[in-house]
Amino acid sequence: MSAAVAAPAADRAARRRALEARATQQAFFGAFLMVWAVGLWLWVIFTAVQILVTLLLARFLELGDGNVVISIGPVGAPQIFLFVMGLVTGAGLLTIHVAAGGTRRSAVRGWLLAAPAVGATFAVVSVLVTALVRWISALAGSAPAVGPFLGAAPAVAALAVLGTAAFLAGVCGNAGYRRYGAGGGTLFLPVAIAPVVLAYVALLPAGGFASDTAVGPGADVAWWGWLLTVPCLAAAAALTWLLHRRIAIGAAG
Amino acid sequence: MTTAPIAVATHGLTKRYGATTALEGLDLEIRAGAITGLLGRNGAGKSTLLQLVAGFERPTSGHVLVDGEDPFDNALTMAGTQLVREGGDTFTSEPVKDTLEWYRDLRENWDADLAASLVDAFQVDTSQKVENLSRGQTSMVGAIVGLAARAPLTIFDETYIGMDAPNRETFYEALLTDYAAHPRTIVISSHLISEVERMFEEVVILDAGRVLVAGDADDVRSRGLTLTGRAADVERLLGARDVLTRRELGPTSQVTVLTSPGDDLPARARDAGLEVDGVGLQDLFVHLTRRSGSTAKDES
Repeated sequence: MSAAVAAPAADRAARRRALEARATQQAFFGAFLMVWAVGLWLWVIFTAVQILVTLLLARFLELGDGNVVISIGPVGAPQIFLFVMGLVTGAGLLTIHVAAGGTRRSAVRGWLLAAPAVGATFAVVSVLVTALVRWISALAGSAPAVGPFLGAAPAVAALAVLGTAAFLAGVCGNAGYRRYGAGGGTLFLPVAIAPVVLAYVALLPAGGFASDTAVGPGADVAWWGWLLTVPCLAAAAALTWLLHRRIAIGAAG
Repeated sequence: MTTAPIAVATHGLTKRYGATTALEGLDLEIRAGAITGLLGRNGAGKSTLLQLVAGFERPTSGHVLVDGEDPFDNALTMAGTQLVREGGDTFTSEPVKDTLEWYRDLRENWDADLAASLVDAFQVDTSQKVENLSRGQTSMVGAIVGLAARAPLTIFDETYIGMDAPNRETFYEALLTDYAAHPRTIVISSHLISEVERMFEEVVILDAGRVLVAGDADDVRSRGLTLTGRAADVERLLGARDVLTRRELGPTSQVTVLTSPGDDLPARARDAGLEVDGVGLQDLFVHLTRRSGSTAKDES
């Protein structure tokens, strides 16, 4: 190849990379900010409800006899919320991303980066909110109220993985609906959420069925449990990319 | 920053949706730096073609080339192409300004001043949610995006549905003014042919997924001729030419005929004392596609 031909080809390649980087960044911030714009409301309501329930139960139940234990924990609602926000991200952002000149590739890359970002930030907030509720419940005298974790670090790590997987499962689920229609998309959902379920089983004590409520996510998890989350996240990411790769952008809304 | 106009070519382009064929072996070239009118009846394949060009979909077979490259998921061509679809691609449940900001952040040639002036000209309230806008106002948002994006390949697919006449005029004027200042390739798909044909430099007429006519707009217009005069004289001159419509008024005959480039029929008809009139693009389109439709029915 001559230098005259090679130079424009190199320019185009560099420009292609710059455009992809710009669009990836846009997709990342679009998803991250959208999740948190709605997520703030989730945390305000979630925190208020936890405090209210803790105080009411402490007042009306006879606590302290060992028969009644209030379990406060961030496993469940936050991950379901992130799954739903994954669905919303794919549904709300893909079409306008492509219409504004971005590729599917840059959209998926941005969302793959946004997934751990929302997963990690949700995990940190989860632990802080749980600590706050435990502190308030202790002040109110509902001493038996226990948190879902023994140590903050493994809890944050486990919740971050669960949140990341849940968000990706949502994005993947939306792509399934786009690719396979309403019926096929619903049938595909178990495949989309399988990585979350596997990660849940791997990171929660006794696969989430531990009777000791003081033991939270990430606590006492064996090394192979953490290792198992790697293929879970990789599978969720790969599935998300494969489904988006050839996806058609349907009629304008 | 790339602002050079972009050319489009298709070769044997076919797109099927299940049993329905939207495009069938389409061979077409859209000239860079010109305003091309894309005409066709409902279901002719216009929107499908434009979505393939914009990289929204993949062809079933054949090729579409934008600036010499396959546009599907192509960062270069997609960044250089702005397709504005009917109804627009917007954040429907968010204020208009959110949509405009999204395009501003992704479109490297975005002209914020032009967007602001068009918002004023169309009197669009950018604090309103898109879903609360009327059909015409939603179309205006699409028009603003299409013009302010200033993409080297700008495509309007029935963009101004629902707009009232003054706003459509505002759009046409803004488009021509901006096109003169910033030349680019513009494709306009429309059913309002009589309104927009004055802007066309090139015309493509699609019918049932195939190209019926394509070329320079003036050449296409000149291909349609209406001859009026004594039936015998008209018939004698027609020869084997393609007759689109025929009307008999006693001894007088009025025939609309399709000629080829360089055809000497107009001169010969005038010499024979026949009345020779041009055919407007809209009339030519109606004649061509109506006849094509009836031919297709006859054949089926």
